[in-house]
Amino acid sequence: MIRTIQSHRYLAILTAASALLACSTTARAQSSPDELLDRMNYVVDVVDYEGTVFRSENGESEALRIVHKIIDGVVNERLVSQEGNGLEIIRIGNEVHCILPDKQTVLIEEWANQSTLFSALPSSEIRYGAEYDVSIVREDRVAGRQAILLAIRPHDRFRYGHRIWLDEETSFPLKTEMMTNDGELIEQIKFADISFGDGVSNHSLAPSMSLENFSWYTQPARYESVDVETDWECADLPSGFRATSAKTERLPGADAPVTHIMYSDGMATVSVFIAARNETKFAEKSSVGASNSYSIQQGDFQITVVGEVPAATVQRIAASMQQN
Amino acid sequence: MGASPVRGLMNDALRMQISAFIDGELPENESELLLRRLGQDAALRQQVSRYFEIGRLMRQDREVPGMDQLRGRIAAALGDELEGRDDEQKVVGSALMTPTTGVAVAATVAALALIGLSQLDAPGDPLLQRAVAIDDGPVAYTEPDISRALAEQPSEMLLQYHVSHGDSSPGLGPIGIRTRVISLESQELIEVEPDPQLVPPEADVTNEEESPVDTP
Repeated sequence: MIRTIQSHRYLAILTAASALLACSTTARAQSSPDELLDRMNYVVDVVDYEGTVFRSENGESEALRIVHKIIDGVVNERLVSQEGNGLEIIRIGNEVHCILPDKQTVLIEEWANQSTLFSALPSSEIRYGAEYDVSIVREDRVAGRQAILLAIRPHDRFRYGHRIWLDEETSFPLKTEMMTNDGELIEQIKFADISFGDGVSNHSLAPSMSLENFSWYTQPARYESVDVETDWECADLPSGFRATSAKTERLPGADAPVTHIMYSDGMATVSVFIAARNETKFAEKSSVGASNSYSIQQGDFQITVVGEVPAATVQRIAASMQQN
Repeated sequence: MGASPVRGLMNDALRMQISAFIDGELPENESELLLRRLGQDAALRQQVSRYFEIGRLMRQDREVPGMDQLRGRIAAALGDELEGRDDEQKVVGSALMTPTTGVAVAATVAALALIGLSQLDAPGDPLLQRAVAIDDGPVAYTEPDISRALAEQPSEMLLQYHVSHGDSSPGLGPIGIRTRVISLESQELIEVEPDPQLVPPEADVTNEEESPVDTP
């Protein structure tokens, strides 16, 4: 079932977006960082756009073509890798088709309402706990457009910093960077060109090839998840992080359900997985993209922490999980 | 990335201020206050000088707009101290760069996800080097050793944890996508009928103006 943006919210967003687009550049330049972040979160949902994006990570860069269009309140997106196997991802609401040209295969998945392009974008809520400073740095130019650079600096080494170049006209994020406290770049998403509005055609949302001879697959329900109250807690949680959910999940390949606790500081999220100890041995530390993980055995349990935070953070949380 | 050697000698607020200054992001009035303070505190000047060098090395000389001007101002504020550290800078540089590359490179299943499925049949592909598992071993660059790397790969369970974390996070992004795709391939899949709505534009001759992805 296609998930639509809830109608009342959609209307409110459209109204807000229209008002935003009508604002003068001068007024926007005088906005507070919080206001800019709120506008960005509205706009990224509701504005139609099409462009070429470079995503850089670990010194490697990949070009992607993205089309984003709202049709009858439903987010439609198409993301095409311009390199390698030419992976195409077509999203209609929360239904996602992954087209693998080299494998002549289409995989269908249901996602939560998540962007195919952006990782978590900060909102003004990140101020809670005052773990970050948000400031307007300067004006700049990205993708041939005037932009305002916003810097989000963490107060400690337990989370990453962010820089966001917002389009001066629309508040759309033209470029985002995630970096360590020492300025080391972890991930960058940068538009090389972008166009907004009615020029984005429906045809550009269609696959670029015939899928006539492709095999189509979907997967069984990925996992079962149930909200629970847990007696596990982190005794040495970095400041600003709070537990936001606790579930038991039965993951593919797992013999028994695992407890999954989420922590967030409003910007970064960390997952703690608590499973019965078995013979499986993970790398103690690992890193996948911007995600770090750390696994530790504690009594009869294997505790694994995963999150887009520095290695020190996942290690500290894993080492201080305790059962009351 | 290890902690800066100056950590512990300066408080976090000052570190942030200096970091912002080096990045060219400290407001003008705060920059002047910082420079004034530097002019009065030799020990702090030395710390900042090292921090400046370390930051530059860690950024691998990535330039930011206005950096030259700021560098000039820092040099003026620090006098000869920065200039005189050229020899030491080389030593500090090599020592610092070692931990940055001091990782054992491993071909993890999860990291395969990062490079797309087309590389799955080519385990010797240099792109596998993107897969990184941090090792507690010697801090020296390790050439990729595929057999060792495969032996060290994180389990399927760890990949599932990454995917589950991605599911629960507010955003996904391309990294999450590829992780999801590889996760799909590793599971039992159910063959389904093609979706007739998903056709390329040229084949959609009967209803050219309609959305090819019309929703129910």
